[in-house]
Amino acid sequence: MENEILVENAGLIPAVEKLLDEKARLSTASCIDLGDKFEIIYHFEPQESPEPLTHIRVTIAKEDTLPSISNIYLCAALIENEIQELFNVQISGIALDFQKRFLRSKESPEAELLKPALYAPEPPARLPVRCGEACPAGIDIPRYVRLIGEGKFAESLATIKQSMPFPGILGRVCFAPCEDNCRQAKQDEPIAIRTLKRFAYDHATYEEKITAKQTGKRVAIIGSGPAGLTAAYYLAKMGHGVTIFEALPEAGGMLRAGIPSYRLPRKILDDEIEMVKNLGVEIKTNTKVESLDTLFKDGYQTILVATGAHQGINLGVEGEDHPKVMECIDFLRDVAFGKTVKLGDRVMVVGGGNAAIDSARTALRLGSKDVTILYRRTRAEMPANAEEVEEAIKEGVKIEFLAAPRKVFSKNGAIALENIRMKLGAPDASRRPRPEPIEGSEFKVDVDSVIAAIGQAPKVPEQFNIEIGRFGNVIVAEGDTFTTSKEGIFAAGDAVTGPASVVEAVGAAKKAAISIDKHLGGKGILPVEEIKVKDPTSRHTFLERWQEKREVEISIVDGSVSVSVEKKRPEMPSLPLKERLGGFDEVELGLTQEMAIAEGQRCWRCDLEE
Amino acid sequence: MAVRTVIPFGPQHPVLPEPIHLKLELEDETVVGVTPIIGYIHRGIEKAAEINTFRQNVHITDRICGICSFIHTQTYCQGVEALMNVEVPPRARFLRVFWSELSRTHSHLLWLGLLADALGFESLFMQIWRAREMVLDISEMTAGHRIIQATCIVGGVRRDIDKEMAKEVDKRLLALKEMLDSTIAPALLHDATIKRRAVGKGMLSKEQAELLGAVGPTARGSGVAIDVRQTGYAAFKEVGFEPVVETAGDSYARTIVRAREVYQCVELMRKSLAMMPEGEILVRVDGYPEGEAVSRCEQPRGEVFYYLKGNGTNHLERLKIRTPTFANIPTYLVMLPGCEMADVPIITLSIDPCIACTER
Repeated sequence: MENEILVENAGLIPAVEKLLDEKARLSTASCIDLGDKFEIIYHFEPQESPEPLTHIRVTIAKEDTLPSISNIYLCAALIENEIQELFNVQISGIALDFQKRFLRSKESPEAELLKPALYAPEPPARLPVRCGEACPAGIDIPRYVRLIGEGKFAESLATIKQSMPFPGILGRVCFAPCEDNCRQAKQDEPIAIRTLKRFAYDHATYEEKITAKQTGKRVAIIGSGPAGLTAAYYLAKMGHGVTIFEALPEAGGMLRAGIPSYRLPRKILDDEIEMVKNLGVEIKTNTKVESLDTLFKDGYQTILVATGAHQGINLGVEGEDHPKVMECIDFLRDVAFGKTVKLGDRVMVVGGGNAAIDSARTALRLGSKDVTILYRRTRAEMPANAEEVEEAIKEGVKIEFLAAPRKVFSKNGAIALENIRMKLGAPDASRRPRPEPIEGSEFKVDVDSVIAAIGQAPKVPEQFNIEIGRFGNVIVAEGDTFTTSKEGIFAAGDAVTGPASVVEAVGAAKKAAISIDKHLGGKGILPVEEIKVKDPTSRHTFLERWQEKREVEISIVDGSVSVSVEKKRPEMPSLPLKERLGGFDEVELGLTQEMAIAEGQRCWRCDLEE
Repeated sequence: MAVRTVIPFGPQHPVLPEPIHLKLELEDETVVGVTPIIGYIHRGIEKAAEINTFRQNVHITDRICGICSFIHTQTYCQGVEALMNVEVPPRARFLRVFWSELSRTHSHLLWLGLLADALGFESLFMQIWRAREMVLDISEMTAGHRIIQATCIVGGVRRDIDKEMAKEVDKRLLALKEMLDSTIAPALLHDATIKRRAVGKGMLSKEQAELLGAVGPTARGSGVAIDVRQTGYAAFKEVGFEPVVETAGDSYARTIVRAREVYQCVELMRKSLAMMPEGEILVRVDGYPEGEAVSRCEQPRGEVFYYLKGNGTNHLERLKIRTPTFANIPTYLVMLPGCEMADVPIITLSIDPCIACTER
């Protein structure tokens, strides 16, 4: 036909977008079954002259999936549903997907029609969402984001509290797997879910109350990190007596020892721990547990081992036992607990994870002038959070990619590091390219100290006498029940999984608390406070997604605010660079009310039926 | 607290005797969500058109829709003629304009009557259908059938209208116009009951109409001036045409668009008969259709779209039909939420749904 554009499957969306820019009107789409493949023709009416029509022709194999154009032309949704149903063409992401029930005659329509009328109020159906499914703690993310958008901050905080006890901590330090899975990232930018959690904590209060009767059972938790605190929180709420044993002088575990206070201010951490203590949990600091049997003798029915992963992994190079070569976990812990650490001006941090970035930024704050991170792969493969890397570079951290240490030389107290250049090879088990050394490319750097940040591992005391896995030194625990090889002993957190994230520890500890409650004779039901919120149906909102900018008026507790919702993520206000390096003040300052409401309004609400 | 109810509206006779199922979600009396479901009357016409020969298809397309049957056939014939490079004689093109406008007059009057019926305005319903009867008489006189004219075939038209009949048609059209003026237009324009039920109900803004791909009077009632007749197919270029547009975007605006179009149709019919040149009405068509073509016409409900693919045999390889109601159904998603349950029938009716031809 004349005026025809032939495109491949992948070129369809750009071609349609171009026509949208030219303000063409979609007439319809025709599908033709060619035997071994499908041919789909989209017919458009150009704006300037109605004749002739413009056609986009796509040919796809029968097993291929066609991208839906209904997110560009909403009116295409109906015809796409029809093609999907009549021809069995697989079309992905239709804006109004009738789930192959648009033409009902194929299924038995009676099934739905014979249903009795519903006279009782029915909660709107909610769909599983990608962000919520990605969250190890299982937070109802779309609801709390929506509530912030509606100006209901207290309800939002209560929603978070339904599935997770520490919004203040996780709102700051969570790796936010939800944001990686946000559906909106495909069109504009992901919703700032983590920051909104922090906003809810900063702008609302939540009153903890214990409704369960005291059971008289006692639980000992070893380790006061995120896993230990979470388990203590839930077990206390279920009516058990909980005691936490902590070897360090203050509670918090890796939250205190591993996360520098410019990311997690001590006030927030102390407040959250205080909240757990107020539930009746006793925390015994400076108490290292030597034997589990004595705990049983002391009257504890159950023990949860949540000792974390506090053992640094050695670099494995010659000369690393020099006192100026330190483990990052020791370094961060010493800084956190106020010990003086002398680094000197030139610091080399080895590794590419978040611990390496934390160490480098901490070193800058301790007054080091020249901080370099040595990483054996490239920026793309760095496991550290991209935003953190960005901030570190802004603050003046240098990163040396594709290099790894070979040897530490020491002479008269001064040390030097011999490094070797790497190149990327075939992918390894972690699906990242394997770094391979380039022989003969060694180079030497004079440094004042070296911080090794290439990983941590759990270290479980041998006296515990529980089974340790063959790899990674982790405790062997059953998948969902978190039981170990010994009756009455449970384990959760990094001690089981190896070094992971705070939110994974929280998620695991929740399940462990259920398991422990069942072991103690309870029903294993987590105490969840019912909150009264009204879920809207999303059909009001699907047109809003198309607007580049819209103004909304939201009423909040004290008055109302008018915000303009745009298609981008708010920029987090942060401390000016000059003020950062002087101390350990928090870098991220938190969103303003207007920013948070606009961000909540921007969310697509994938959870609502549409 | 609002009581939440789900009401299945249809598929058995929801306001009009056509099966569409609207799953209405209500909070108390207010509609908050709607899911339109069709598929109760799928007849497999597209498939039938592949099995029959391309000449037999004329009679299939005649029967896709009862109300706008002539325009379906006209669109089909235009498509086949484009594939086979057939030049339709000028007299046939003017006759096609006449019958297509006759169908439109019939359809709009039928719909206005149904609207009055849905409002409970029985006397107006009777009056409008009396006017419709005059149109059906013209149809019987010129085509030999009251509803399905079946005069269009590939290459031209089957029947001619001679001078004497043209004079009689003109007389009857003037009588129709007089009846519209004296009885129907005053009621539609000034009756308070109609206004209370239609003004401001079922709002569809211009942006929404464009976004949802609305066509025909539904789009024109929202200020979108789309009308395929502007492209000048058949003899519309010679006869001259301007689309009727209202800007309010409510049920009432859509009603007024149709009422004004009835007047326009009468003028177009009279003009086409007056301007019709002498000559042949049909050309001989040899060979088989080959290649691909799209063909569009303006139906009473909006743009109808045909895609044809021929492979050089007596049978078409593919015939795809997109009827205007198919394009208008998505507008329910914005027109219905927010309205009262009692207004749902009128709003549902206001796009003039024709489900049987939508499902084909």
